[in-house]
Amino acid sequence: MENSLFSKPRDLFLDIVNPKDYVQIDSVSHIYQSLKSSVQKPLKMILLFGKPGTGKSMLLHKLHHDLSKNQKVLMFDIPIVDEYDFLRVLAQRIFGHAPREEMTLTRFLEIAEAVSYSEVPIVLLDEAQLYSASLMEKIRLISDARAIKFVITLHKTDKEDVIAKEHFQTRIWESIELQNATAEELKVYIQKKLLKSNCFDVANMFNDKNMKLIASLTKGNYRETNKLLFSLFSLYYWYEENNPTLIKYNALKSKWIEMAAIHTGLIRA
Amino acid sequence: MLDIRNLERRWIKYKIKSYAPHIVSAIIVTIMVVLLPFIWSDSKENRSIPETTSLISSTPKATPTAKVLNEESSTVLEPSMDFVQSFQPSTPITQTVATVPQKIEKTSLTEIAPIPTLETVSSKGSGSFALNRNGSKLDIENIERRFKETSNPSLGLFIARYYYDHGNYNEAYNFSLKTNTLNSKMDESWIIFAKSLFKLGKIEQAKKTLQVYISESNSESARSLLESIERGDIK
Amino acid sequence: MNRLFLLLVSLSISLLADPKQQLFNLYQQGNYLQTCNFGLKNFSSYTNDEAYVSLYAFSCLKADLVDRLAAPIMTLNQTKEARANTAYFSVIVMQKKLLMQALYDNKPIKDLTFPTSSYLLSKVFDLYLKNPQLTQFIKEYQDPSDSRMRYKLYAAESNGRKSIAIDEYYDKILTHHHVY
Repeated sequence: MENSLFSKPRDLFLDIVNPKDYVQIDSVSHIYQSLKSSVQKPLKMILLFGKPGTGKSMLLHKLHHDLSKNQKVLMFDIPIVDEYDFLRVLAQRIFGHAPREEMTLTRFLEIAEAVSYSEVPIVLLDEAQLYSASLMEKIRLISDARAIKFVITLHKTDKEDVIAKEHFQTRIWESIELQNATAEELKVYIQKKLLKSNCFDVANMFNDKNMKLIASLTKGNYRETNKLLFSLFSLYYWYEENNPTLIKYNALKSKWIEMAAIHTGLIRA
Repeated sequence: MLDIRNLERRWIKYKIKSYAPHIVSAIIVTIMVVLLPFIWSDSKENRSIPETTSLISSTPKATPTAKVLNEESSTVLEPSMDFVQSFQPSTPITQTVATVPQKIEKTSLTEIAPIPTLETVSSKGSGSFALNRNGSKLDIENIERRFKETSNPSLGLFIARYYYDHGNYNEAYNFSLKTNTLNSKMDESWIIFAKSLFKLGKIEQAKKTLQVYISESNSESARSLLESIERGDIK
Repeated sequence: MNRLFLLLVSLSISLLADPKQQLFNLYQQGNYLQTCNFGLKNFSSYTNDEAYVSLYAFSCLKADLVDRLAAPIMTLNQTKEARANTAYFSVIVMQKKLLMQALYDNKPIKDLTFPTSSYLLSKVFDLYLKNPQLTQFIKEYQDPSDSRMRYKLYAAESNGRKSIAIDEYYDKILTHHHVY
């Protein structure tokens, strides 16, 4: 349907990470401010952890977007799990070094020392729980040599396993946990996202009862909320085409919210 | 792709499933109401430590308690939470009607006064009955300490009686309650308990407590106290 | 079955409780934000009840809603305890306002002497007095009495209002983000 009210809102909630789509939530932006400031310190590692869907990747992407204007920042949003490949790509993209031979840690550290930037380059590693323990060790050694500063994101439970080891703890400058949004924050998130794209009519459809239901279903998780609303607006799109008399524009239908939740697996039925 | 018809079917199933427990519990509650007298006497025997203490003591210990002082300056202001005492007579009331068997923590009721995160200006607990303590001040504190150590219901009863005679109905209530939980068959403890409630203005609760106690124990003294209350003979 | 029924009965009793009792129950459950909002709603009916007003004030304090202390400060006066608490609240409000001026307007507050308290904002205020870190947007302080605690102080907007943020770090882990 060409002029559907719901196709744009639906696409807004596609669960992809794009720093241009960043929605400012006060508490997260305070953390971000603090993170951006800390990253300039002479540190080895900063840890950003939290459950999946709490916005770690988004924050990391935003950090990359903001910092790369002024300094050398490298982002690995998809982990390179092979150790030698990882080191090779790192050497190439940071130091511009593209050797034919296999990249070992020793070789990497030699290159780092030879190049020696005035400002230590920053590397952002997303989903670091996918790196092997041995690769994390190498990362630790690189940070020890002050060759690179790392900002690492991890799922919460993994943090407790991998990084909990004592020798990692002492390298970590700061450890910040991202959490699910509060009900208030979730409301702000949804409203801001819709209003930013001029979806005023749809934004007005969300009443307190709807928000309460959405918050209780998604528990404030951004990813689950994105998936739920994508499904919900897909449902609205379908009804708009096939049975438009059912649609009321003063509020969302709890039934359809629940149907969307069944579709995304938030409700088991 | 969304299969709307399927989703609608699943939604109906979901709704039926989610309403079912409410219907079942409504039926159960109705049955319970009918069987109340029998259940109450049953549960009395299994009663454990009243929730007053657990409610008060489970106040989250959020920030570390500030240690008293700041060596550098004498101008450190500390808040006081003694006013919380005035809320307390109400909380125990709900417990006398129904005990919620949740987390149970043993805490001395005399520790309730400061809610954990704050230091009280005067850390000796409530000052309201300090006036009543003359030479017997040390004795009663001693006995309270012994009661705390030994949990001897006779000591509890003694302390409850002492406070009641000295007009401290709050403490009389507290100690008779503790005594009752240690030994629910001490007639005098129940009498002091009910009388303290009465003196604290909780007349309905006093009557209810007596009614329940009478139904269990057939106590003559409880019966006559209840009658006096109902006649308005007691002030 | 017994327990379920007893639970239901006691729950219904607590629902029928008066607002003052409900306030207390909410506080006991640790729902400080809820307690503060609830207390505000019924404040006008309990202005003369100092216990109510005091508990409302402490709940707002625990929820970092320092500005809500204004009404209790005006109201509490009858007992020694009420007056002591009012002074305590006033110091915290004053410190917040001074920090706002310092962070947003660079107003120097270094050479003044103040009473203080054990509340976090007061603690950080004292640390700020000793070391304003004027060139840093985000000021960082080590807790002098606990080497595992660290604090960050910075200006932050919240819901369109200019506010102050204080972050607590324990063992380098961000444990609490306060916005005043």
